[in-house]
Amino acid sequence: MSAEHPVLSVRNLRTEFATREGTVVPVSDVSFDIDRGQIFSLVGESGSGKSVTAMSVMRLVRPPGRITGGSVTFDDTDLLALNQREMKRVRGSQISMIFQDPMTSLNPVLSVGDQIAEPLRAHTSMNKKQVSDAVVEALKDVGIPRARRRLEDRPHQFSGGMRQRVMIAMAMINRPKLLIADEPTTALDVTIQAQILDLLLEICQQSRTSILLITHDLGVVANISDKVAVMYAGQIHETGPTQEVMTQPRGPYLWGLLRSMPRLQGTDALDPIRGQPPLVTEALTGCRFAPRCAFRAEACNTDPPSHIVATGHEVRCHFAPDSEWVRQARAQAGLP
Amino acid sequence: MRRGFHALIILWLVTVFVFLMIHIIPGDPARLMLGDRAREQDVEDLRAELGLDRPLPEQYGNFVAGLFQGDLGESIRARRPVVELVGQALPPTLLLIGASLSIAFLVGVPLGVWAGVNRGGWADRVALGISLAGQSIAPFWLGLILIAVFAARLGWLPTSGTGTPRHIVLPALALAPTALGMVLRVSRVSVMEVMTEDYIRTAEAKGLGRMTVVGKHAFKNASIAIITVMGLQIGALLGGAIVTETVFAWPGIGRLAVDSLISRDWPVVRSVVLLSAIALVVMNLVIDVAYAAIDKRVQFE
Repeated sequence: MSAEHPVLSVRNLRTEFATREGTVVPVSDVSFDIDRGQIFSLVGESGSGKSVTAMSVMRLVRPPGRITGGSVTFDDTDLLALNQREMKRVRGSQISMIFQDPMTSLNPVLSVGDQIAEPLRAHTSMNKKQVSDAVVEALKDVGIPRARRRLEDRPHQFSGGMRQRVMIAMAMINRPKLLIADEPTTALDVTIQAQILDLLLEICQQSRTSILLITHDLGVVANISDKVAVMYAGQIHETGPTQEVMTQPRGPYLWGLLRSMPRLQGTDALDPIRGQPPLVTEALTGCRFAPRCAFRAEACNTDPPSHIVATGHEVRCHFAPDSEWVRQARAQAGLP
Repeated sequence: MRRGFHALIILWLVTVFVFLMIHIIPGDPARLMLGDRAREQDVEDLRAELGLDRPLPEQYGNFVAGLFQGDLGESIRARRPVVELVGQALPPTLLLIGASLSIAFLVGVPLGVWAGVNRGGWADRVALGISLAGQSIAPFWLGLILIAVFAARLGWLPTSGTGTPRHIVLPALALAPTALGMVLRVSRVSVMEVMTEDYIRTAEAKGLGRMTVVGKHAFKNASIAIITVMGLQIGALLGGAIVTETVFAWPGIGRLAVDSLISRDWPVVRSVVLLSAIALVVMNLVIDVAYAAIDKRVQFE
């Protein structure tokens, strides 16, 4: 779309957790690019590796977790090659993060004003007055009334939606180039979700901040994101421009996901994908979705490569390039 | 202030218990104090002097009335008001407990935090070893060993008594390990727990340094548990002080209690028990107030 370099470029990322039962690989081969100002959705079931991917980009995977392969290039810098001090300078200033549960993500014993001010104090040389003015301004920007009088309040004095606004103010105060939002609305009331999402988009648009949005809400994905990647068992199963991927899905996993979504029209019973995603260990071979796939064949016992099926649209399925097979399978799956 | 009300009830129960102690023990209190060979007339006199010839409710009434006027009775042995004896013994004990608690805090908390952050590492194992040793060592035994090594053999420090700042070193060192072990253990566990909280991840994602994440975000939350255990350790130290003060001839409450018990100086024993109870109740109230100061979610009714 643009001639600029992508803000974030992840290549063949692999993150492992050494456990007593052996090595678990929640992220085994993940690659994607996010352009400046772009909204990139990472969707998938619980345990598919979305959050670990995000934490790997921030290099905040906790032991026994360890990034063991691939590269994470942010703004022409290889993040995996930075030392701890250099990485600290990136966090909270160039890449920041908001989390799922605003109830537990704010420190209960510190004032909200102090917590929002921390990224400023860590990354800028502002004096006290400038910091406090900037914090008030940030609170106003996220729609918190009487901001100056709320600086000393603790998180428990705010409602869930207000706390997520505080989180947004905190994450955006240094105008980062990339915001990682890990299920930012999942823990909120449905009525608040849209408000928070709109706020997030508006603020990021103003500063041309790219968003890596982690979610399992396909409706949100379709509505707001420019690009989407569907994760399954530590790999990206299908990725591409949102419009194209959501209307012309080519892989059986995304077909299944779209088929299992409730619709307003029609009385058809939902058609869920049966079974559970596998625990990804080193021993796993072949297509990871095969055990649950309605269209599996002999070939699925070997690892499927990622096929480019249209501009920017990639699918990790042996049969994705075979348009005749796809046409038949789509018809069978009840898709147009 | 429901907590204040609870505290008052506890204090009232303590006065009843302390008052009844002397009556629960079989035999005649006055006779017990003076011994088997005392003349009948002396026993009668003492009984009258202590008011033991009055009905129980009246005795209790007098006892409580005295308390409110700051009158704890008179020591039978020293023939001086108990208030005076206790007043003399209190400062050295507070000094000793304060010194021991400071050692426990200054060594136990940093070690505990260090261990908690490096869970499972060698630092953690060393700290756990220190904690276990500290909690297992009996203060009187450690006291004797310290005297044998640092006073008798090396001659660096005085064996016992009081007078110079050097006198407090050995008793404080003997008394501190139990509290230190406990403070270390609780600091370790609560820091370990807090480090897994979501807001620690948030703090790390902001690009804060390790010192800020641990020292500010984690420690402030962990300090609630640490303050609790420090408060509770004051009670344990008070108990430990009885033995330690005896070993080091430290002129505090503990030694006063032991001496009075041996010589059956009942009014003094009673007062020491009562004062210890008051100290613990007040300590608990102070802890509650400290909670509220740290964590604004804690509200008083």
